[in-house]
Amino acid sequence: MSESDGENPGEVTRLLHSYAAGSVSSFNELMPIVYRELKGIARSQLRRSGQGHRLQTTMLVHEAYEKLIRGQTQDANDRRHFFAIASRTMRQIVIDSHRAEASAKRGAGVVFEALNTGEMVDLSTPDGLLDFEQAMERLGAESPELAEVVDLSCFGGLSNEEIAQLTGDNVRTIQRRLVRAQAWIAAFVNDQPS
Amino acid sequence: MSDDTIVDLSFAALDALLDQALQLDDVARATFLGGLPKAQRVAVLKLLDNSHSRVLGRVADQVRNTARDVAGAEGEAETKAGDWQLKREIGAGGTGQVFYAERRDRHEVVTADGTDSFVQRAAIKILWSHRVKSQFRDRFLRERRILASIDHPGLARFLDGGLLGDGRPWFAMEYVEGANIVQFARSLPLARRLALFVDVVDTINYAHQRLIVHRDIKPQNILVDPMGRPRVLDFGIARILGEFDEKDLTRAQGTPVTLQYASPEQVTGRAIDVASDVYQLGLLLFELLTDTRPYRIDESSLRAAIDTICRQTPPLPSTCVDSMDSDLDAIVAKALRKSPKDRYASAAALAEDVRRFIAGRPITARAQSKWYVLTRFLQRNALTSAIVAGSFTALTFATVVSVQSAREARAEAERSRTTQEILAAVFNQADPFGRGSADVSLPDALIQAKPSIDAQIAGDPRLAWEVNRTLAGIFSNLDMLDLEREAFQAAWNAARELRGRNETETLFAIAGLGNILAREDPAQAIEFLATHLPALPANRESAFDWLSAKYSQVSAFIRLRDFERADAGAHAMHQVATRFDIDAPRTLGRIDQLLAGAAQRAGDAPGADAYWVSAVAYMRRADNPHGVAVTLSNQALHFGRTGRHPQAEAAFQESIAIFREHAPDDTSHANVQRLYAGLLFRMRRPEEALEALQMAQSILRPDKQGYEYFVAQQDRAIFGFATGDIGVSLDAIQRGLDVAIPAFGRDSDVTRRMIPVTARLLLFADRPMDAARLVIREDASGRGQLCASLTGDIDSIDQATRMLADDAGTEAQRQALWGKVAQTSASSTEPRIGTESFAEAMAAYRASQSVFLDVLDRHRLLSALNEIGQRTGTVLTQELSEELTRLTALRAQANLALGDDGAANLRAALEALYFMSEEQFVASCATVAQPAVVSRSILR
Repeated sequence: MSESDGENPGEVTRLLHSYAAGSVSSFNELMPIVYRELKGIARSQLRRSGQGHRLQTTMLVHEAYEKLIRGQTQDANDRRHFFAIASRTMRQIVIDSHRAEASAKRGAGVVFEALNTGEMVDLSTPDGLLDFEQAMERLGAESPELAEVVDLSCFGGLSNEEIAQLTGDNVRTIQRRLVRAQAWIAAFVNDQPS
Repeated sequence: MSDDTIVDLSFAALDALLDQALQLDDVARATFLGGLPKAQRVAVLKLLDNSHSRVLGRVADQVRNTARDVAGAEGEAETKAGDWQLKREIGAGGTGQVFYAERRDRHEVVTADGTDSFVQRAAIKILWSHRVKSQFRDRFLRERRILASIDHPGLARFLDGGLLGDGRPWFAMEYVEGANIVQFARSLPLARRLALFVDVVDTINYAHQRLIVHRDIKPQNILVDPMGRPRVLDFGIARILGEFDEKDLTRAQGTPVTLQYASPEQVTGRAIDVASDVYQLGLLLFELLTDTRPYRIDESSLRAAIDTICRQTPPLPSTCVDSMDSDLDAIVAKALRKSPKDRYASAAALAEDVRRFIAGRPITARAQSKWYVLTRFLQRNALTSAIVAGSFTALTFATVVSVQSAREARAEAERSRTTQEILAAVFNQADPFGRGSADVSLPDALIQAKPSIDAQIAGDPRLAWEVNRTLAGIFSNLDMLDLEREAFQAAWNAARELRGRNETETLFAIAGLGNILAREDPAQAIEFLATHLPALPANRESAFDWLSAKYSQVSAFIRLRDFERADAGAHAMHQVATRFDIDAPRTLGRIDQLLAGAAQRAGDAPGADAYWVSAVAYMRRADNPHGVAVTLSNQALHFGRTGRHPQAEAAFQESIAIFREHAPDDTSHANVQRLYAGLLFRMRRPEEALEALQMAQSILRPDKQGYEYFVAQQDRAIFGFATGDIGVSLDAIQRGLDVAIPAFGRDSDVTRRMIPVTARLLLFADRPMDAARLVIREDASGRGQLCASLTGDIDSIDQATRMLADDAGTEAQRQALWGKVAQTSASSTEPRIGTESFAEAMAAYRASQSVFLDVLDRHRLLSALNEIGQRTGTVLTQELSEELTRLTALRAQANLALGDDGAANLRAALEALYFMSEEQFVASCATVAQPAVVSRSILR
């Protein structure tokens, strides 16, 4: 069982509502709750599946939703906001751990061989994901809409259909947003001063 | 940073343009981009390029991979299952985790050193804890039940099973250590590889007999144990035949099949039975034979993968590796048929055919095509010609050999006649239609007739030799390796019984056997010939057969890459030929070609030079112009590869001159022209290269030599581009497509790739109408249909609708299809749409608006509906009727705006009508200064 069993599901819904109403502080309150929940779920997922098994991102976010929101609300907006926050949080977790790992590796003087030559974003180097994160920050500033689909897709593990349901757009629009986001991210990464 | 980098233009503006461009297809996008200011065009193009970077997919992957860091701590795992100590995880699948486990046997063993306990090892599979309450538990238990119910030396043994404290089921299987079968087989000779394969098929067949289908046969699931026995593992998605329920059926599609090894029925979600295992066994055989898979399956696109699996004909193994027996091609092809019913009916039948091949008997996969599929006429004639050919060699041979005396000659002739009579009797029996029995094949008939033949030739080794020699010739003609070998073996036995000098007869048989062996097992051929072939032939007469045997040996050396001994063998052949004054230049020329190729592969360029010179010289002496020309062009390729362009050109020119004189229409001539063109292109003489290709094109018949023709056109397209002659490129692409579409199909990758490219080229060449025509004719998508409506050509509409129906597209497309049917009906004299479907057609029109955005198309559709309405006494809804009025006005406006038919106007018109939404159309009508937006020729 995960650590958040004591969490009051109604509380999360309340925070979601005030976040939707424009309260920044409620976002800041929500994030750690979701963060703890995701970590707990991830840990138990790995316990079940053992070492070396890959994490099911989709399951993670969905389980968090089940636990935190449960039967509290049927509001489509709540769903959307929750998934957006959960995905955003996932991103935070991944980037944080990556940042730590990257600096550890640099410290250890490990030389990385670049794979995927010719690709514009090289994730095989320790800094690849951090470059990506910077590009995402920039994309979020230019177009929150595009950054959101990237979060939901990559970090929330949601399918295009699921995203379309959440945002109320059609699937083709979501696909196109992802393609656009991809184009911009690659452009930003290349544009970054090195 | 310069002015036109992406970042210096506003994000919002560029993103909007990008979004717009993404909604267009290749052709429309080209025109759209063409209309943008340069800075924007460059920026959007770069973004479009970036959009293929796949960075998001890799990030998502990365997220899953760094999962453990997210958790921050490792989970603690189970350590025991029953008496078993779990040591380490060795795998994980959909239903559970697999551990390596050990247990100390309760029976202690007393050894000299004292008491020792015996450690038993196992692979233990445990259900995922989060799947205890799911369908996976059923699947897991099913696997356990299946495994417990079967026991075969080719399987891992079931040892134990139970429940963990938390209620999760587990089971223990014998732990098999070993390499996967393909890796293991890599260095083995063909015979061993086939034996391994037959073992696997037998095991699968055992399971089938217990109504169990494995469904996941792939190299990773078959390990070869230390005893050399292949063991089939992982029945994780196996199924008991007949054990179906509704739930299972729907789940079948979600079964975690390995895409690379999936059968067509698996990826399309159809019923799975033993035929699916037969298919996967076919893939395994292919991989065992060639060390590669027949398809490259693109796992990133399920649709493309399914397309490959269900449509692409697999290549024959012989196209992937050198000297693969065509019987194995036939076996693999039969196992890999797309339709389950065309494959071997059972694993047993597949095993039987491979066994037949190993034993050198005729295989059924081939027998079917040779004996049952051909028409009676052809069948009779194939038989007759084989007999005639066989007897003919027998007769000429008799004439040559028995020149000693007239008496002997008569005796020979008589034997030959006897031979013919004996065999003719067999073949009369074999003629499947002669006696109303369709089941008797030639091999069967021979097997039946064997005792009678043996009886007739018994005690007469000369006759026995003669009959078997003839039989060998016949079987060679019929490609029946096994029977050919048997006949040579019998001929050899007979030769040894001949009194007096028998070297010629013996060597003949040895040469024949050596030749067969060289084809299937070069190492064995070398050993056989080393044992039985004398160092030198005794006389000139036997020298021919000696040379033939030696040739087999040399080619076997080359196949084993033993170039040194091949070289020595070839020299011995030269010596024998000189010593007995045999001028067999053709044979010697072929030897030298082989050696030249071998030297090239060994990286010995000077050696290759020498062999090519000598090969060409022999071919010239053989007075065989075709051989000379082909050899010269091969030499030219060698020159070209080693950078000696002038020599290469000279050789090509001579080769071409010979072809011109002796065989101007030969396919080889065209190929040489094409190769020559390649050289010219490399020598930076593209115009001449194009001329050579023009020659090749004029020789090749697209209907007969489609592939060669297509390749030549591809080259022409490239060279044309290089010379800046876009017209040539377009012509070449069009001609290539004309061949490619019937040959590879409209949906093939080749065709799909070429159409948009061509369309774009046409647009750039200011030939928009041609672009439109091309898309109409060749593009199966809704866009093609839309284009069809543009031309108002009923046939193209019909064709496009049919294609669309086959495509089973989206709901909107299907509805659009309805609208098209309505329109077609309206324009034809016999309306196919009745009053009852009128409402449906209107609904379809509304739905199709999302697919058909352009004004003209909508106008056509709606007026068609209106017409039908008038004919059938119904009316359009108020809303639609208003829309019709509006569209009619718009169209009139366009008509007014007609200008001349210049290319620019055509392009603009095409753009407007073909690709634009209504708003864009109105806008462009309003903004074009000279209102020449719509061309008359399009509207007509």
